[in-house]
Amino acid sequence: MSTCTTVFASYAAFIPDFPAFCAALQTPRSCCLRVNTLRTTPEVVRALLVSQGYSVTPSPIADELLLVPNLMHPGRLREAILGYYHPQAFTSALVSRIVAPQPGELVCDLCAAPGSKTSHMAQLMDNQGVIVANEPVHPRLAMLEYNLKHLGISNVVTTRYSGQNFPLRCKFMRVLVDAPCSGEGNYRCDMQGRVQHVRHATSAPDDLPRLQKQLLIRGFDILAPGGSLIYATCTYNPAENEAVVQGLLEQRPATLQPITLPVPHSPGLLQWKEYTYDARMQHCWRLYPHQTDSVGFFVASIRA
Amino acid sequence: MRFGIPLITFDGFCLLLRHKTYSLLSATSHIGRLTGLQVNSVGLPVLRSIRHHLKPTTAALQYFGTEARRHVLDLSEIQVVTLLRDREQLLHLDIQPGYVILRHAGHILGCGLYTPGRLRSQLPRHPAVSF
Repeated sequence: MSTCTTVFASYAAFIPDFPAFCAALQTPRSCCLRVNTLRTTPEVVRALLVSQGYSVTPSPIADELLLVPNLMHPGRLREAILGYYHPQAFTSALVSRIVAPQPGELVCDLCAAPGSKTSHMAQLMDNQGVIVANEPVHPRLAMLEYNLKHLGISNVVTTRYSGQNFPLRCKFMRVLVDAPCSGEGNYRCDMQGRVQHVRHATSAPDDLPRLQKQLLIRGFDILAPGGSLIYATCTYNPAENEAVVQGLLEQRPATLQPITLPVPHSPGLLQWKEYTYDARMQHCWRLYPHQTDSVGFFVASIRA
Repeated sequence: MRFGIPLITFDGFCLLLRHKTYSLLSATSHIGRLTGLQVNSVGLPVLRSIRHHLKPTTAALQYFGTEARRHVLDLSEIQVVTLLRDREQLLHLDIQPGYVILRHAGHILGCGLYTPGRLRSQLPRHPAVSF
């Protein structure tokens, strides 16, 4: 039995084609680059990479995403210091596409560091409007601000509140809660067969669902009427995903809405162990590595 | 003024001073709704106040440098590699001493400082970048 099979054995009941899932975790993930369209164009970056011997495939869902399977160290190329692209997992970039911020809007990214999704949203907004990017942890805030500066982002204001205590007086048209999580979606073997499983959480894992529920409820409470809230994690754990969304549905007049992007995914769970979830949970997305060749993610699109 | 960037380039931005850094924030009608927030940083840092002069940031020059008409220095690949490695190189140019925009193969690299006979890199350090 492989390590992957052992680690995720308790999820075998709901992960579709579990052997394929485990096999995907044994292979290195393809490199995905998000072209910084505030600086250049996908065509320019593609030509520069091809001239250096890299094979580049455009993403079928977004012009700014390029898949470069034979690029091992994207941060070491000249184009990286020029700020022409930002290495970002395909599924991570999908989240900003699901938020779909429009130029001129007022948007909040409640857990913003290291800034991949913040800068992507700024790019989708053509640097117009305002994004309030919040991050309470100082070293992570510095990383966020470095990335924003490096990518030429001019429509972001950073703040340093505890996300669950973010001031209620300011209301936003769109809110992203990319919550700290156990990071199971990053579990993957690298080129040398070493396991890469990064736990990003600063809290003990047992505390995460409680923190995630608080963050999601605060995210809902700072929505303007008719606004939309996206909840995302990079973990498979239903206690950090469906259970958190369920908590919001029980405490606030929130509704889940379908996500419409042509990406292979599985629906949110309606049941896990002894827990039963709201039928609307089917509108949530579970993104698995064997379906997307990327990091595992969970996304819920919520409307006030 | 040093780089001859047309003023119209900066239409649509608010210039803000915070501590010793000037930043450009995209102009927005939402600004009044943010006044109650305690902010940590605002917009894109473009100038830093150093003693008695202002230093442009590499981020600003990469963003606005394509509009520059003066003091843009085209470097060969060897010059770029040398500058990144040694942080300076001997160079005699017929220009006023001061900050320059470094460009290679049409791409804006960022900021350099020219003093008579010497060019110093003001680029952030990138230890493993290949050219």
